[in-house]
Amino acid sequence: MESLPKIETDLLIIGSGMAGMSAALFAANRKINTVLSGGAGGFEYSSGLLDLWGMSLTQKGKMSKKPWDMLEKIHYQTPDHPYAKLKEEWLKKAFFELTTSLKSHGLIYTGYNALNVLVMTPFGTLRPTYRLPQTMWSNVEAFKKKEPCLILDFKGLREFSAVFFKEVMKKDWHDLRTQCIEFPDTHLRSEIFTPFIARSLEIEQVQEKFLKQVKPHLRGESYLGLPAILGIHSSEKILNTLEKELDVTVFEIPTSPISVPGIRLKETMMNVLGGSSVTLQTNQRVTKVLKASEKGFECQLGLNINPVIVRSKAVLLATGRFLGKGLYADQKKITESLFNLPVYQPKTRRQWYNHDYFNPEGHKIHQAGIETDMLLRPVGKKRVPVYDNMFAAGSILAHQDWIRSKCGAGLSIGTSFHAIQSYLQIQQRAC
Amino acid sequence: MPKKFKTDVLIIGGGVTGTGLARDLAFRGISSIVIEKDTINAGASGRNHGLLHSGARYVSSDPVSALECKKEGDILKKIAPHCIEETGGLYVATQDDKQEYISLFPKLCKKAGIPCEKLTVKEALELEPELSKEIVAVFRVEDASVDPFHISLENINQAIEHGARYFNHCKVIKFYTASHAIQKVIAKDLVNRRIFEIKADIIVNAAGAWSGEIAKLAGIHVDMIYSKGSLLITHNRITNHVINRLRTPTDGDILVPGRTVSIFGTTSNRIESLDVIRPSIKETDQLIKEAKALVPQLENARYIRSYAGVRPLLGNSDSDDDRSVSRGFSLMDHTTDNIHNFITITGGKMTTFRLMAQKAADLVSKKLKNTTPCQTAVIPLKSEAPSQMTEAGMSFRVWAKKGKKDNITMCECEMISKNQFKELISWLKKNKKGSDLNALRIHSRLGKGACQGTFCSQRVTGFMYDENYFKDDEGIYNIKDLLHERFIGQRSVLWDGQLSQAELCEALYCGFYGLELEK
Repeated sequence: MESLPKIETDLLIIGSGMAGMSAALFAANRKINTVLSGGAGGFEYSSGLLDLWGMSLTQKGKMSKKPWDMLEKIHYQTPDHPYAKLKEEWLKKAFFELTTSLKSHGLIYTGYNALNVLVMTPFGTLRPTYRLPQTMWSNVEAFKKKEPCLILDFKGLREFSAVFFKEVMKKDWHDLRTQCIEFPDTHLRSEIFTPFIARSLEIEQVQEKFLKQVKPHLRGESYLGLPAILGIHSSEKILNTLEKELDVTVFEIPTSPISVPGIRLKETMMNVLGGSSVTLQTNQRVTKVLKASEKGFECQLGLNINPVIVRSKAVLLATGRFLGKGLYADQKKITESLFNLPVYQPKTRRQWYNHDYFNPEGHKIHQAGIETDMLLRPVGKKRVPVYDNMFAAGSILAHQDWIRSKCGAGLSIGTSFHAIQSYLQIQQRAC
Repeated sequence: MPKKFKTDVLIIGGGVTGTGLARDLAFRGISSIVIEKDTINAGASGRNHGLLHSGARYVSSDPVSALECKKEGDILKKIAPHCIEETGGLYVATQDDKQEYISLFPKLCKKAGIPCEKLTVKEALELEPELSKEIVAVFRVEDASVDPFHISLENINQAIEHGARYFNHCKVIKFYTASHAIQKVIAKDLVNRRIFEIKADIIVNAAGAWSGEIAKLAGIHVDMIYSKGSLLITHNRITNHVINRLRTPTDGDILVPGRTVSIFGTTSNRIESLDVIRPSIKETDQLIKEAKALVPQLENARYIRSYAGVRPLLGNSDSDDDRSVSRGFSLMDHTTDNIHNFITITGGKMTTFRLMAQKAADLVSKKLKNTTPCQTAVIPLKSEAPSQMTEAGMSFRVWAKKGKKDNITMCECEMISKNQFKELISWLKKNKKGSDLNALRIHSRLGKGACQGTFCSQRVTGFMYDENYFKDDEGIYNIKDLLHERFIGQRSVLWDGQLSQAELCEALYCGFYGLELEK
């Protein structure tokens, strides 16, 4: 054990999903000496949309266009919700800071000032979100205008069907046409994935071939809709090229995994963190907690391949839920995987799920998670923090159902922002 | 005017007996309609272990049934080898099991005519390393694993090829009785809600657990006991033999390999109503608790689904355990109830379905004065339908043989390709069957792998639109129905790995697509 390399740091962020990465970005902007650890982070599964709050709190099963009105209601309707521990102003600052950092590295997010937008999904349905990639802005506009539009899909791409989109959408929007094309140089491939198309489109020669293939299919439509494939690092530029060369307004439709907008988000965030006060130990999960006390933490990252030990004064737990392995469920109960923190949960497994899968009320298991104090420190009995210097952020937090409320990204961004603030506050208090 | 149909025989119930009877009658030149209120094998026929009994399980309680199992098993292995995997079975005793029964077992087998061979513990562990090291006695018998869906699909398809008709999602709602006979049967199509009439010379009630309800429509009392049994499906195949606990039948004592998975069960709980039949979390936990004595790995295995069936047992039993109620079948000629063209065939078990169908068909033939003998024991049980797609691991083999060109995988868990779905849909269309996701699930392994529909349901729906099988927003409802159906079976096994899988699925279809908001 002694022979393992050691890293000393002030803050260890455990988890490199949306919450962990956002926390790292906020830590970098505040020059906090930080190590970021975690697995793949699940960005490939993320839509790349930044939801804040999508559902009405007054009308069950209805979407809401006014997230901030809903957040105000949360404070007195569901005071246990993690959002109730945040001031509205912090959430706004968090979104602004994150999107500004992304923009400085070429990924532009857009939306209305204070309202949700309705974005079209591959199922031809609409869903609310708060901020979306610039490449999807015309997705929102196009549905409002309903002008003639061509929807393209690709031979061998199973994650998106233009006909599916059109068939469901056609009751609201008549002027839709679909076309399936073969992406340049893929005739030897039977199956293709969106990241492959996106990365290929980063190459100019491929763009040219692609334009040549698309052009003949346009018949003077105002809009051209595509699954989200417009590059990884220069999506904005590719969008502009397409619009200019094809003389049509182009928009992306977010797709199921593997999701290009999710990968864009991850890779841009990694670029933001480059050269900052954050040391990236991603692809290294915390495998063992060697010490955890008021004085600090000692965690082992990795198991067999280049394991390291990180000594930190504080820990920010952003390990996610079951898929992220932050929480673990056996036949009897739900536990927290690393520090064995107390987990708020239904009394028995019988209560985890109700019998109606699509119940708009959701399932009780999604409310399970880590309870915290106002500074987002996990608490034990009598609501006393388990450790003075441990904070939790993101979907591992209890009393929220991001799946039903459509608040996944906002929850991660907001609580990680608050956790970093709290960390600084505690540090100051200690000094 | 309601639509009218005419046939020689109306068979109520599309389980293994009803479909088997349609096949039998078809070979005798007797026309039939099979009416099923749900889909093929929706009752106990599709909700059992998939175990082709060697007979050894019944040597103590019911030696007659035991020998029936042996004989019928031998016939099925000959006529339907493609639906059966001859795994062999082991009867395994632990220290907790009664020595008395252990020493009696081989004698009872011999007496009943069931082949049985004693193995040493060492030999058994070499055959099945996952068995508990604590076992004390092992016997090998001729159990096999059978795909009950494959059997019923072959039954009905072969019957249809010989002139039978099959209506699913249609429910019998009324009998018109006059002059001691059922003159006509009123049924309702549960999909389009239309009422229609069927006139038949003979009506056969093969409704399994629902036989009592059907008989009631004719004013006849058939006393049924509803005994619910729940089973679990593991993510991997755990053993290669059927593993039976060597004791008198009780909870959680059979583990059956079924191609790529293993099935473990069952429980036996008396229920009062047939309205909601699903496995409970308590039963699941009870099963796993029992399982580890036989195969310790079952305690920590990943389970992908659970399901429950209702054994169609005849009443008038004083026994405490429904498993000891005779598993023999019962053929009732309701002439004794003053209705001369109504027959009920019930009880029994899947292994002996062919014999049950034969006995029922003999009675029908007698009434219709048809003298053609039964041929179901000699004609291969093989239709022209592409039903091999129900077989795990088969899709890939077929696909790989044909080559990959212009074909893509739609379902990665079960390796089903686009062209295979195309082939299946065109067959479904040709046979006037619905070609929605549910039909594809029944006729293939769609949604049956580890992801339980997470990735495949959306891809296949996209494909269905591309090929013009779906219009408007049909795809949305199809996906919702499939995922809900898959969820019901997963609910009681959602922990550990399968819970993570379910979380991903819900994040995708509710979190991203918001399907809970689509009416």
